[in-house]
Amino acid sequence: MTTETFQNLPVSLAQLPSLDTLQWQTLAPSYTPLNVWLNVAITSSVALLWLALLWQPFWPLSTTLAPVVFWSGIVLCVLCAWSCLYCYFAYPLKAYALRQHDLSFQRGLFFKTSITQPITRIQHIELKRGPLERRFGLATLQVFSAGGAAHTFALPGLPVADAETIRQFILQHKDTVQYA
Amino acid sequence: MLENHSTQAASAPSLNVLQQWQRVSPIALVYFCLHLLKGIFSNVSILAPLLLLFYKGIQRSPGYFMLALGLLIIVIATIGMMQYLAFRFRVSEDTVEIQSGLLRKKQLNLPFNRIQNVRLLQPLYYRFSNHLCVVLDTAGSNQQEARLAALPNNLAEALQQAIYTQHVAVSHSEANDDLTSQTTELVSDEALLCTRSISDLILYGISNNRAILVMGFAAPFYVPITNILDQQLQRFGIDASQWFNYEQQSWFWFGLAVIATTLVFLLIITLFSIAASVLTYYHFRLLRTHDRYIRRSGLLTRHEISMKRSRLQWMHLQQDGLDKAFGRCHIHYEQIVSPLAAVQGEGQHGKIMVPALTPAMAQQLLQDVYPSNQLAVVQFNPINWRYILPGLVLICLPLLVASQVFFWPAAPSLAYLSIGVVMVIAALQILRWRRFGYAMDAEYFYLRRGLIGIDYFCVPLHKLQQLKVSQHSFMQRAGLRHLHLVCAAGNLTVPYMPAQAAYDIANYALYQVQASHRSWM
Repeated sequence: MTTETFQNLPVSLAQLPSLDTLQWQTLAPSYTPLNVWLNVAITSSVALLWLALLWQPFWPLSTTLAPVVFWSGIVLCVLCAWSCLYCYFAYPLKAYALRQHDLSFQRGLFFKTSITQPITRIQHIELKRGPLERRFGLATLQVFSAGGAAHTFALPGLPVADAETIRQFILQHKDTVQYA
Repeated sequence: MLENHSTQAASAPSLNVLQQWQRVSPIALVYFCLHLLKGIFSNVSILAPLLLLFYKGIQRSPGYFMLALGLLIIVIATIGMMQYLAFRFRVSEDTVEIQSGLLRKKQLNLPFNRIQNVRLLQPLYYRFSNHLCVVLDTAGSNQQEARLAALPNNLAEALQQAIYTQHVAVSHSEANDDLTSQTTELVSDEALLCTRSISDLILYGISNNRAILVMGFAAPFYVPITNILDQQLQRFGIDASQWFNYEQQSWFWFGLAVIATTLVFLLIITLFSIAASVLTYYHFRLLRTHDRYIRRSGLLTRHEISMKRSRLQWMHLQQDGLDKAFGRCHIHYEQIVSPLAAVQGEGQHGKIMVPALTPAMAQQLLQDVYPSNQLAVVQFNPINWRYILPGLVLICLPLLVASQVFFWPAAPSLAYLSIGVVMVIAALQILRWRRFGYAMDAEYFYLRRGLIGIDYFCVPLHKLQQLKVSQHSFMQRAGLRHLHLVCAAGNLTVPYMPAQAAYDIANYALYQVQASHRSWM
């Protein structure tokens, strides 16, 4: 971007707090192992189901169906195994950053994305805990803005206490507009 | 509708009559039934097999078919009747309460201050009995919409007034000193911003016709249609099928026949499109009150859309391929959309679109909304050339290789043709890259994008909802980023821009949002 576009800016851009120098915080240490094991479990059950379908003696597969089942099973298993690997390498890279006025989250191994949600634009906020998350003391913080459901800002794998703290921080933020 | 009955509204009846639980006027029965029919017939996935079934049905057993049709009509009428009976509403001091639903009972409480828009619709069949359909739009993460299907004119307008009056009392009214003209209609401070003449609407109809789309959708029916046409023409002694028989005709005459037929089809569809444009936008008027934009138009069903000025998220200038030839463009005033509404085709209701404007008029309207915007003079920055790489490598190259391998020894002419096609795709890719441009000034972010047509967006930075910066490994090495600006009206992406520029825009936009404390709605 050329500099003349910025001539009439009231503030020097260099002095603004910058997004590329955020202090990233890692998620809960149990988050990655939990997801890796979850993926491994899913992969093995898919593989078991597939093998059971191939080898079960009750309904012999027809000659046209057998190769379809065989190859689609292989593709499915490879995809599952890939997601395990991806999980193992990519999930530790997930991180969040909390500043005075906004909340950021970054993720991705090959495709890196960082999302920033200004606190003043938050409509409402939810703390979600699935059964596994409850078991491991984790929580997912969901933040909704008017950007629509596709742009819901979700912060997964937080220790419950941290999630509560962030939630309180946002709720007590003076910019938070709360709707009944 | 509103102009005609302003005198009635002046002696506004009190809303006291609406305090008891009551049903809407009986004429709403027609509305409910037609709405059901529209629901069925606007759904292509239901309609296509249905039409096919009907077509087959008429051929095989007309008797049973008529019976089925009769049953369908009875079912729709019954459901419409039951919906009508189940729908009850009342207006207490500052809340609209609605009970509705056949199987699943719904109760809706709408405080006036949560109603974003009050749209008044007047279908043709309401005009004789002076009724209006009142649509109440609410905002928020879960969009709800409530319809009072039929209220007498004066009550509907009184209700709209009451809701808007409460809004004014709540919000800080902005000063407006640059009114161009005053019209004394319902509200005394309505200023007429823009009207559209029939010729403008015809231009809009031509440039916005969806001829190709219609022809695509009609594809399954080509054979039956041509059969029917052929039979009809043979009655008049015209043997149309022999024109298209290239064993009997020379190539020249065959080609002529094909071109002529295509042109006739295009002409018919364009005429339909013009008719649709005139029907929708007849007597188009864009008005501005001290806190709203109001659009009124319509030949048969008169529509009114109004949008609170503070709810406006961005301005979108659109110029399609044909618009360029006419030197026209369209302006969209866009506000919050819920994705659900967009899917259901309801997304247009919240927007105000001004068709077929000359660039000067468009500029004038834009200036009226955002006085300090510099869209006309701003220098757009290009995005990086690497933008075209994914398209070239992932689409063009495989296509090229595959087509050459597939066609080469057997059909050289097809192989050459496919090279041409791939080159056209590549050229479009490059054109799209050249079209992308972004710029920012102290208040606004500007985006230019498009392929054949061009779209311009002018976004006030403080309306930003969320920001996303993304890149893949190759982009990281080249120092490039995608920048996604999420607003309540949608998501704008600037792909392959220099990282520094992306962060500059992101940081400044965040600063605008966080430091200005200006509301987005």
